[in-house]
Amino acid sequence: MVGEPIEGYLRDEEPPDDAVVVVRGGPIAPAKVVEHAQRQAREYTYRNVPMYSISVSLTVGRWDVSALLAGPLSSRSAFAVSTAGAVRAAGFALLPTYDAPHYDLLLATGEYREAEALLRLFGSPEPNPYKRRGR
Amino acid sequence: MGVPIEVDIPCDPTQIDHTGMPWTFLDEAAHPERILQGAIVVTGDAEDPVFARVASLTERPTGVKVHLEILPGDPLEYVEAMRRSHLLTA
Repeated sequence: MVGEPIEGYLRDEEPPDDAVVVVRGGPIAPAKVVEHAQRQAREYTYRNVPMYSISVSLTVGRWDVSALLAGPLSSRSAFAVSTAGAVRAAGFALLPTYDAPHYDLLLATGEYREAEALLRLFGSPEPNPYKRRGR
Repeated sequence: MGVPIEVDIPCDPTQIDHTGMPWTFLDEAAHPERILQGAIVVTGDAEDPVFARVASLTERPTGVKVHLEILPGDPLEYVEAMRRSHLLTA
């Protein structure tokens, strides 16, 4: 196993199920989830196996959805939301990695069907009003 | 019908590591020889491209890891500014 263990980058944080919104930046598409999860698994491990995961932002601490869209997601044209409870109930763990509000949402295989199942937990993609358009 | 968008190097701009910067692998670049430290590149993906500066290239056991500094604004804003100042036609 040549990937770097993610354990050294975890925060001590356990977001409550209902109060926390999980925001994924676009494009919201299974193929993108697969691409990004496989890239992560190439570089990182979790519990000694490749870590298939995607980056999400959570409304933890001082972060609300607007702050996420204007901050870590400001380069994204679209976004979709779910809740920590919904994704965990479906079997996807949320790891607090690096600095808040960043989390890694873990997938078991990083394969297309799993990505489709994950995205069904999110609402329809919405435009990010905080991304400026040049005209 | 327009020419398909081809980014220089794909990445998820929200996929950060301990540096706080997004990253990707050099071997995913369409033309790896263009991915040099300090270079301005188009990244993200064809559906939502962004400009970035190549912050660093680091040898890792799994490949060459490229850190990217995402530049503010939308690529079209840069194009519009260049048109206004006739940089594209000078």
